[in-house]
Amino acid sequence: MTRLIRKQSVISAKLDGDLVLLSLERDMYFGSKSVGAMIWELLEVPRTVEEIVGILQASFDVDTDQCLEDVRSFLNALVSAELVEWSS
Amino acid sequence: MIAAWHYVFAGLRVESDRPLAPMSACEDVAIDRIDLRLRRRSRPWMKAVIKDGPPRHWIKRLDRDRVVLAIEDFGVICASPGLLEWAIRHEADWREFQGYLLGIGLGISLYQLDVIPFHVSGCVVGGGAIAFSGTSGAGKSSMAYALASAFGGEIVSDDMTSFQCAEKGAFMFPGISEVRLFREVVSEFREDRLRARRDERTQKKYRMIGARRALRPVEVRALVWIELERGSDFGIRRVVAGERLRRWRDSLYAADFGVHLGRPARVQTEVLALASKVPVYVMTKGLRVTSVRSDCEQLLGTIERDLASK
Repeated sequence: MTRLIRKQSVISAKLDGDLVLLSLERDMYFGSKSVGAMIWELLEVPRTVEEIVGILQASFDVDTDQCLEDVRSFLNALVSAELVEWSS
Repeated sequence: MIAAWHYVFAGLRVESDRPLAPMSACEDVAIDRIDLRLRRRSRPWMKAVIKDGPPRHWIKRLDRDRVVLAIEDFGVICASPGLLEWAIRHEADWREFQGYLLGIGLGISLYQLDVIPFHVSGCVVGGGAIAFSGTSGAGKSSMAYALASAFGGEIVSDDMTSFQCAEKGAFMFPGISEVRLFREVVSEFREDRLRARRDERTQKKYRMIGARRALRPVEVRALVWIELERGSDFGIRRVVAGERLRRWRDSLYAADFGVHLGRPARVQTEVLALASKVPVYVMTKGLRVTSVRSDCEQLLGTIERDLASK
């Protein structure tokens, strides 16, 4: 199953609970929600979208479809910014 | 079997089929992994570019996997992930062409190999590196060279290298140790002046040959952002890491993930300081070159007192 993992080249830091990432393209990104920072933490090891959704549902009261949609959208932003990569 | 020279640059192991004097030799005897190869080539298309110039459609070649640079009067550089090929015009000066190869060429190679290139110059003094960042012409190289020269230190890198963040701290990788300085700065280092050679490419700068260089990654003691201000006197102050980022963030609508902010060099410095907990300073100076040595003494004095008080 396809998994995602952080790219080694990205430098990350916390700023008042927000996430600050320095990508290869030298842009900076703030994760405006704490969930974004949590997903980033989870991606320290390769994970599938379904695994991430499962872990988030254990912590937050959110239905599966909504969570799946939000996580996918967030991960797509990370992939297009080249902050994470697919790991087989 | 081709002749090969091995170097380290920004944490990468580099193999070249020509000696590259400004780079630091790789000390490892067993070269079991090469990250980047530099090769002189004479492919027909390279010869055609040198002879006739690049065709107009070449802009299409500027993608991540293959970047071709045609450098007028000098030659061609072609960067693919892990491979930097080059061809030089017969009459071009190798030393000047090398400046392009080890500047923009290596910069592109770092991107292609997923390494973040930092626009910094740094030196080791007192057991740790001081890394200078700032816009072009702010005085990064001058400060790094002056500090190393005045306090018996070593150059870690001029203009570009990479960092590795640890649990608490950051390490700066050795890069190019041949420092480029403005003439006014060179004139301050009278004892070193014989080592300075005019850079024909920029016409403005001089290359300081043979500076003492660091060969291994060095723990960073301080990050210094150089701020040029018209009419300003020299000043140095410690700032809270992330302070500037907070102001930027608060001034933007950051409701969704993916807010892009400009001023990449300053952003890099702030994020690196925030991630590594390395103290960060802002150094202000006027546009006119005054005494770099005296600036260095004040700067180091401030940093040393600051670190000693912790």
